[in-house]
Amino acid sequence: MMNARRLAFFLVVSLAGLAFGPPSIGQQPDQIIVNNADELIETLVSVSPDLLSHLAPVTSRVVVEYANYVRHNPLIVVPPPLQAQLDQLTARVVVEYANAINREDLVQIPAELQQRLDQLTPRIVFEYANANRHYELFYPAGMLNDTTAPTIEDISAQRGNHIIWTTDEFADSTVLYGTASSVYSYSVSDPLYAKQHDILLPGLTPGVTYYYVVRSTDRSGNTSTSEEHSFKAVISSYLPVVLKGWP
Amino acid sequence: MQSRGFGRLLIVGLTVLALLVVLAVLAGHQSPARAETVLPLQAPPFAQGKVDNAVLGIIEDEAGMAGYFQAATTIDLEDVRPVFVTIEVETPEYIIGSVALADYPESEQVHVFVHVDGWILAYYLTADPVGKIYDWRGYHDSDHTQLTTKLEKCLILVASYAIVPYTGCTYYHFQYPNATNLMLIAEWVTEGTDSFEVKLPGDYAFYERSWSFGTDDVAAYLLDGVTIYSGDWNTWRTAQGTFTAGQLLPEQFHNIEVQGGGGYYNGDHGYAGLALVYRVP
Repeated sequence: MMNARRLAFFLVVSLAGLAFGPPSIGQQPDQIIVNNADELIETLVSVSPDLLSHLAPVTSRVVVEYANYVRHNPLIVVPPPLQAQLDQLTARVVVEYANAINREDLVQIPAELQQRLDQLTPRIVFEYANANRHYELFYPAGMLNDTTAPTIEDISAQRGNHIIWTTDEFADSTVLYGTASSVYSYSVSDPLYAKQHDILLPGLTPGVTYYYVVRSTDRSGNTSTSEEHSFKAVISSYLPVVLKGWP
Repeated sequence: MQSRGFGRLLIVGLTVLALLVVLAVLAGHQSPARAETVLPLQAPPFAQGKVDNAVLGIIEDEAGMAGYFQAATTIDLEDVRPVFVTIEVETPEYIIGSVALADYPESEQVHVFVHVDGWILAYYLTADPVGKIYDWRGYHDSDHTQLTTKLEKCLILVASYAIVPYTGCTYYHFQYPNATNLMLIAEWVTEGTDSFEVKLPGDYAFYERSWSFGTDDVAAYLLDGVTIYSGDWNTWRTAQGTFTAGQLLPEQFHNIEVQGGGGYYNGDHGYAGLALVYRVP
């Protein structure tokens, strides 16, 4: 192998000498000056067009040198039956290098358990917290022992079907109403405590006079009922807007 | 001698007459009071276990988050008076004032109402965020095993002065009469970072979302990566505030993180709390 390398080096040096010529010394022709050599072989180097024509079709390849063994196997398309089997495979979690796998199928929870779960109410969900406390809130009615009923003021009918009023303390809201004085066939209530009360009366007949009283009960259970008021029902409505001359 | 005796007798007689006249005049001035004495007698409010309307108004107007309990026995106000650092109102029936808690600055003193009937009410004012009730010092000192509130701590303290057994705290928020529940969540860390996630249900009515912060040196409170409160104090520090509805949108998880450490001393603790006052539908 190394002899071939030395020969190649010699050829390269020789070609270089032919290409650039020997150093010019005086008027002597260009030549390679060899002194004290035991043997000298001089030959011409040429490229064969025929060889080049044979080398031209050679395609790119994996060049291997110094390998002890080369084996070349062409890859061919998977046979259709095998491909058909492969096509039936579903997606999966691909794992490699893991030490162990435990795979469990998740099944529908039993209906009885699902029924219990459906009964759960929404809750505040939190995780990773270090601690928590949860309390229900209770009004200290026993301590305050409030026996004064709320004062009802500023009663009026608004927007045709709303009854509004104020109380001097937190209290709930009820409107008792009907189409005859002192006969209150209907009622609407809001159990939430407020000082500004606004109750919408549904299903009123426009143009009909309604008679009503308002009632509020404070957190200690003291109730006030107003004197009777009346109003003529007007149902708010939204009319379509017609634009004339719109292109 | 006889004339001098007659003179003395005359002086005594005139004096007696003058006294009778004065008494008659006084009796005449007092005659209208007789009409009042025929009014039916009413027992004083405390005898009926009542809080008078003035006090009721004071408490309902100024109180925010509150905790209370009723002792099984009456309370002698003489016993509890020393626990108050300030007394705003004192009657034979009750005392309203402020009580200092050990390890906390005066800004965190608790307002207290004590009634002879055994009622003890501890509260913070309406302007105070609910997060103010976290007892971070107590949580710290219990090695993070007891998450207590300053209202609870105050009730226990006042009960000890009143020489009545503490039977447990019931909570109420006077400005949110429709709220039904209070939730306190706590997170702590030392020299590092820790966090928890919270998701609020969309069909609850939340009246207050309050943050609470505590540290013994250097710490920070973050909501969803945004610093809410932080600092380096070299001593204990607590703070609190409120979140807007937009900061804690429902039906999505929010991350509340506490960072502790970085101070001059090692072992800095950071405490972060989320207090929720809400109504369960």
